[in-house]
Amino acid sequence: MSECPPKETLVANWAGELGDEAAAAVDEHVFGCDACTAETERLAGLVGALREKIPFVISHAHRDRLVAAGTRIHVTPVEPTPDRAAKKSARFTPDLDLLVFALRGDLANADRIDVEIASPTGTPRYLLEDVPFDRKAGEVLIACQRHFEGMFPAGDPVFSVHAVEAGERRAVGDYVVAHVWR
Amino acid sequence: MEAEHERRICQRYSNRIRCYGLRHLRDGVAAEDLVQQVLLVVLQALRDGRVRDVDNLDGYVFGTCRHTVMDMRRGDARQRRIADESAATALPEGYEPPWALADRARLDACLERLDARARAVVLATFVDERDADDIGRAVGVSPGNVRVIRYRALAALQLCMEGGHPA
Repeated sequence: MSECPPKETLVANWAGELGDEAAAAVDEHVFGCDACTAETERLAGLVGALREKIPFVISHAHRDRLVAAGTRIHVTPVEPTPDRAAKKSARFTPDLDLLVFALRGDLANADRIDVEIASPTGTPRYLLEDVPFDRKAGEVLIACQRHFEGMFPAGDPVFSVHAVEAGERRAVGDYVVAHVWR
Repeated sequence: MEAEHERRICQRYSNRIRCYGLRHLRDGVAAEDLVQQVLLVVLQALRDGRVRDVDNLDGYVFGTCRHTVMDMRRGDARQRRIADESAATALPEGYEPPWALADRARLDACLERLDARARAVVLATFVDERDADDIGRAVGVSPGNVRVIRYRALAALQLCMEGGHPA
């Protein structure tokens, strides 16, 4: 490859969408090109930071990658919590890096899953659309990080899971976990 | 003079090797190991006169990089032996150009400024490692549109991260 590839191709390469041969040609060109190296460095910094980001909802594959990389995770299975007084608790002990709540429900026919995370007072409230989920296991994984402490001062947030099935929106359940931060 | 020449070589290739490592090994620590191992092998080869075409050092470093990544993926014994042997060869002082780490808090803020669909596409691509076909089905757009959304979103994120206009 003698000409600089368009930036769209560099992005596609970082997204892993080029075939092996095309990717190798781009890589080799970048090695010998100062301008493409500069552009690649900018992309690498951003993509590297994105890859290390742990979103509110993680996929099962992401959880497995974190475990393989040495992240210390405790998974708490959680069923819908209609009676808030009967909520499960999860303790963020010092030896843990991440708490994961496996919200369980019937997701067998879901085309898409949305999760709303809301304080008991309604604020703050986060709407997460089209989150990863495991249809077979019937689970949505919420990742709780230590620095989230204090994010919901009014009390433990409610995780409301909705499934979109054949265009219809269905409530799967509301889930609450008592967070014990130490 | 030789030390200065070697330092210039290291400074030219360090970040190129690191980028290659980040893309192929997907791990910052492994990418850093790759930088050191490849530079050590290349410098030793130059000292021993084993580089046939010194004017095409780009190709030699790239080839070394590819082979070292393949060895690292296999956890190859040969790669460990090279690393052990090369440990005796020090890299020149100040061999690395700066490598800026992204500000995580700023990244979160910039992501929040993207519209919901663009944010979902970026996170699905680089955090969940889903391909454009899969994302397109979930978001209800064509794979081509996913690529356009992703490209524009990354450009907006870069601008935001570098202190330009908000994403």
